[in-house]
Amino acid sequence: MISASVVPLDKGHDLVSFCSADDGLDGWLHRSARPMGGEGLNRTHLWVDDQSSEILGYFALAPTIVTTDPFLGESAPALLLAKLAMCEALRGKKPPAGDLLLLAVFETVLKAADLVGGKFLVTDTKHERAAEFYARNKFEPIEGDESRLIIKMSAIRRVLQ
Amino acid sequence: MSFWKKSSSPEVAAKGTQPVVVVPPSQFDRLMGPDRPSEVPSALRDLVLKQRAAS
Repeated sequence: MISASVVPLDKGHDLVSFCSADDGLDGWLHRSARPMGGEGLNRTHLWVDDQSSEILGYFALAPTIVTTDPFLGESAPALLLAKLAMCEALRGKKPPAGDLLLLAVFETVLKAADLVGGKFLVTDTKHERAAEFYARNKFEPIEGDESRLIIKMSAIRRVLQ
Repeated sequence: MSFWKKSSSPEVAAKGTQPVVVVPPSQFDRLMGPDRPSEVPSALRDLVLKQRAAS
């Protein structure tokens, strides 16, 4: 069983060795996560092995709003899971390392929602494997924009209660 | 000045413009309504229970 903890990205972390085998996600962590976090645009959190301190995964969160219409609609505060990546070497583990990483995301977003509010967690999926992962974990597609997925914060709370 | 600007991409959020996620009213109403058991990720819930039992 993986034993890992979530820590906020800081200047001391060596990011270069992290490899998820997704060039876009790896490059974003290596080059963009720190400057964007420094500007307060989003926050990156690392999923770090408790024994070795190796970075096993990461995710980035940002505030967002869910609405029926950008100008006149009903709306609710939400969190955006803008990035999620796991170390390539963890694929195929039991229990699935992706599930453990998603639990770490859930714990973090629940803390954020308890501090500032948040009815939903929203994310996007760019490929079929990720879509299957999120569907298995009860994210539902937003009607009319099937690549965008949403889950209730109350459902997340029930997972962790 | 509006803080929230319309966008559909988390990539945009990463660049600094916060996206607004537009949901059809019928889906929004359902999502804001009472919880249903089918909405809970049961596999993750089971994993949490196993972790707690093992610790």
